[in-house]
Amino acid sequence: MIGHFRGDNMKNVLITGINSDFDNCLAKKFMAEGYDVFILEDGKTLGVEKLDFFIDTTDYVHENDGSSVREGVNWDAVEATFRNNPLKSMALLEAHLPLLDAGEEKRLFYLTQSRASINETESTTGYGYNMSKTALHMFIHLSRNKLAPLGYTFRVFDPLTGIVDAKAAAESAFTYITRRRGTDGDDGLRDDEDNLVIWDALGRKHSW
Amino acid sequence: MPNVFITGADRGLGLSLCKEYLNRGWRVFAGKYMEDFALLESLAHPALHVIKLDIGCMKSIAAAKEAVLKVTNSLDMIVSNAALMGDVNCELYKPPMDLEIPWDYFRINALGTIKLVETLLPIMDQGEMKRLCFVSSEAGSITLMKHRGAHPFPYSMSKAAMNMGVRMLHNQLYKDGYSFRIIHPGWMKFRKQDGNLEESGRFDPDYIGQWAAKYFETPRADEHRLAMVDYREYDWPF
Ligand SMILES: NC(=O)c1ccc[n+]([C@@H]2O[C@H](COP(=O)([O-])OP(=O)(O)OC[C@H]3O[C@@H](n4cnc5c(N)ncnc54)[C@H](OP(=O)(O)O)[C@@H]3O)[C@@H](O)[C@H]2O)c1
Repeated sequence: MIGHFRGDNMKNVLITGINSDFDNCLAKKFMAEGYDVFILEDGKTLGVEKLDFFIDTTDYVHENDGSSVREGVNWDAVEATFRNNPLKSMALLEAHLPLLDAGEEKRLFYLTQSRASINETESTTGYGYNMSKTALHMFIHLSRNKLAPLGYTFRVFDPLTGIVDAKAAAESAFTYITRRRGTDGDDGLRDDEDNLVIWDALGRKHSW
Repeated sequence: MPNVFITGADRGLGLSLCKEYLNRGWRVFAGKYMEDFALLESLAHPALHVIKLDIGCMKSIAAAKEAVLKVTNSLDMIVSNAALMGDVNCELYKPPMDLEIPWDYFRINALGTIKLVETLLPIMDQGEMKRLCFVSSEAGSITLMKHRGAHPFPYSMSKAAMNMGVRMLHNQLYKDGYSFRIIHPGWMKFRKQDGNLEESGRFDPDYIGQWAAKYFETPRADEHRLAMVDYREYDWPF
């Protein structure tokens, strides 16, 4: 699925690619809710003046990234993963920043998995995925430092692929993306938007 | 005589650690990267083995393993210290970002570090101490990044990725008898080619090296815990 799916909601959503059932369900959810949805097509410009929601669906897993240091890590698979997970995401954000600056929502969404939490992981394999996503987590934090003062907010999400059905995960993600997080009047101490968090499809918060 | 392999030994903390371990009676395999720096060779110690090593290059890592095997079948400790550092232009709103810059940082600081351990693991398995030591940085702490403003991406991203790699090594190798050290050395002065220190920076790398050498070799009561500590042995979050 690529191209522009027009809705009557004035908010524009960019989805950087449809690579999984989850991505597909999330795109359909936004369409069903009347958003104007753009799905990136190689080499094509968007033909739009602003973007509100930026949904980066880059979440690359290489089939040969499953070895431990005892078995021998496949370093080509690790490189391919790094060239996607943080590097492609960096390029995508840079490319769309002018359109996002012009948008109202300025909300950025990224995918991860809790196995890429340095404080939680029990992994002994998947060096490419885990290390590249940890680098992405750092990228998100550094970007937040720069962009939050300009009105940007962030969502980082684990769809729990294989544990939660893709459609249900997309429902969780849609709510998470489109709603503001806990805030009480102007009380900064009761504003959860200031906290960068990873949430999963079951509504659990994970450590970085 | 215990054996240690130290990367990035041309100057700075790596060089200081070589001096420390030679003084403590260790045999030191020192990774040499900078062709035009001769401070390492000038240590001229019979227990010092200088080995050419670019940790960003798989072939160079494989050759370093062969060089160690010519001298010994067992290593007790690896100190992974080499790193690409410095100011680079890789920020939002300064397009185009050259993505080969962060890739170089990942390749050297994160992937090279883990690849080196993977390669030397069979030799480490033969050693007594089985200690894996990593020089990281508070700049790689995701938890603390909120304090850092808009810092350039590559270095912090690479050190965070390295920390993850070390966590994964720990998940697997602790049960095989390995123990781990991760340090944040603090803001150290750079050592120039003539051996003198630059003005900027807080610590003389020799001072940090003295502490780190002791911290690396001294057993801890909580070896099972992976911790990043500074020279006061305060904990830093990941
Ligand atoms: N200095 C600080 O304030 C500070 C703070 C926090 C953490 N650290 C960490 O402490 C460690 C040592 O820092 P230092 O201040 O002693 O730095 P340093 O004096 O620059 O020593 C690091 C050495 O590693 C070398 N190196 C770079 N790329 C390499 C590669 N591909 N293969 C092998 N060696 C390579 C460097 O050579 P080149 O100079 O030619 O690149 C340099 O000789 C690093 O891991 C650093 O990230 C330093």
